[in-house]
Amino acid sequence: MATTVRTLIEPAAEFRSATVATLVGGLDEQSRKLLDDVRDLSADDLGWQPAPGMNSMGMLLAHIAVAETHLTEVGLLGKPDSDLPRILGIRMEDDGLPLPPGGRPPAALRGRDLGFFTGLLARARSHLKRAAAGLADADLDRQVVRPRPDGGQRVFNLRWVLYHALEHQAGHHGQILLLMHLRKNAAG
Amino acid sequence: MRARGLDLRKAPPGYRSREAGLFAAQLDELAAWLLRARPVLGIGWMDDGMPQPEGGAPPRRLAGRPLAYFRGLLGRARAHTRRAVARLGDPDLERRVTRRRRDGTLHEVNLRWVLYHMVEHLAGHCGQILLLRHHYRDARRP
Repeated sequence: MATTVRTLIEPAAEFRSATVATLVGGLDEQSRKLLDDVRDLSADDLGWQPAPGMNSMGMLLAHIAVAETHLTEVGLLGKPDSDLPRILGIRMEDDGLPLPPGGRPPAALRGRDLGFFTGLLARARSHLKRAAAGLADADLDRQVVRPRPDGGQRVFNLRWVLYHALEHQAGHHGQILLLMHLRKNAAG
Repeated sequence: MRARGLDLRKAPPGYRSREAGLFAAQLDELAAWLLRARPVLGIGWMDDGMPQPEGGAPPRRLAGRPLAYFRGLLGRARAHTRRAVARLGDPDLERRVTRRRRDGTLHEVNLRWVLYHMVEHLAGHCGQILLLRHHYRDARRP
């Protein structure tokens, strides 16, 4: 008898809004795949750079957690800035992105094993879920205005925050898959 | 509830079992969709060259194509998706589709996953394209 593999997005439980539940369900599915893809990576793999100035897989994993937490803080919770050390245990600059030309991975990530990065990702997701649990459908239209470095403003709504958390993670997940391929080829 | 003209409360014509009939109808729907790829896009499933074999080169079908060609593919795909999705109601998102994989296993998905997967799939390859652009720029740097 043929095996059946079920890939279903189920709205995550404990959310006021069905839309939020579906978006968070997508994030959880994306994380399940990401963690499955990276499960065999060693600390050496995670710190490997294809060339100076290019991101390592560990940097990208840390960056996913940093970005998700920052989006939660300034987007969903509307804070003026994010308190990453309290929530994640690392600072925003500790992911090392963006690397300058010829740059090396940051010291804060040197020699870190997979458990370190999965811990960051888990704390980021818990924080997002706590912040998103109480949102109603109407909250998704709420707009947040942030200053830009050039003196202008950036306006986004909470629906975009949750969408962007997913596209951001999926984009860097795709890069991690490509880096795993390059790493395998480099190792011969 | 109806989906693409199919009344999901009844056995489709020609089937005694509602469940079996719907299962077959879903497979027909998928097969029909697969066959529609070429009329919609102008290229078929295998023409993107993926997955590449070890040491493989890009397919000749895509050699020398300008950006406008790929923009055209993306534009036609999105227009087709929007037409299909416009007909869906909330209950349709629970609807499940089953297809047989090459290894014989059955893969069951719901339409909520299909829409989610379109976003994650696009975003994942978008991230890879950005990384390849970075590599390409570095490779051309004197």
